[in-house]
Amino acid sequence: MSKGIIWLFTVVAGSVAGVVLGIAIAGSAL
Amino acid sequence: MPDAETGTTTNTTVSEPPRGGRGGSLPLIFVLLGAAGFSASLTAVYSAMRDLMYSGGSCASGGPYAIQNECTGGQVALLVGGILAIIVFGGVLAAASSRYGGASFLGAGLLMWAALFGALGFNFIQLGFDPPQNMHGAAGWILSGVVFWLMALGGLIPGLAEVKSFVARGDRPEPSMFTPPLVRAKATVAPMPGFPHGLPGAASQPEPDQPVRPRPASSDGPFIDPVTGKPTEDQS
Repeated sequence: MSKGIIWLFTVVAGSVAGVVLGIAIAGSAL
Repeated sequence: MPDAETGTTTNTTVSEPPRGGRGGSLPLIFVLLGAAGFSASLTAVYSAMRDLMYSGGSCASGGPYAIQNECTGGQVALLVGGILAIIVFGGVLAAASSRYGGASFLGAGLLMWAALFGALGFNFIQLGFDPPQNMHGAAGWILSGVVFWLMALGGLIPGLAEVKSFVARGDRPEPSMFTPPLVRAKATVAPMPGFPHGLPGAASQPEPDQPVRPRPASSDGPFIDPVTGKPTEDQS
């Protein structure tokens, strides 16, 4: 796989995990 | 190497440093960490903003005045902490992406800009057209949403173009903006009377076929005129 594909995959994976984490944090704080 | 005895012209070339990013797994770990932290922070700010808009659009706490809508601890923590975390994790993601994909790769920063203004603009647009029950008229929210989305578009289009070119580039190095060599210095070293290695900074051009006799400097000999190269009478 090229560097661009790996970077894109990493960013998407991190973003999805971050959104789930953010929803959990916001759900507990609000 | 320049020949100081006969005088030569030397071309010095400084090559451009290698470009294209170092790759490797360490920057990629920080890309993952930055993306996760940025998304979590943005989601927290998005949720707190939405919660605040449902409770009237503004809040306050402290001070001598009667407060109609007191800020909750969760709103303050998510908004203030989330904004600070966006700055920190956004910096981590942008720096790690540039380290991984090349110094001029700006796709991560542009897409973060688009995500920030796109998500917050969605709150303005959606709640502007479908306002909470205690709100009467939310034209200001719609206007703010349109401005936010226009700002997001300014980052989304060049950001997607950057990522597309990065993906299409594959493993090839980043194309250089300049054609090497960047610097071509021309240094002429010519001996002069009293200065067998040439004057510092001098750029005189001797004749190629003319041999130049070295003249070592000495305090014991007669004074040599630096222009004519001939001994002069003692002035004292």
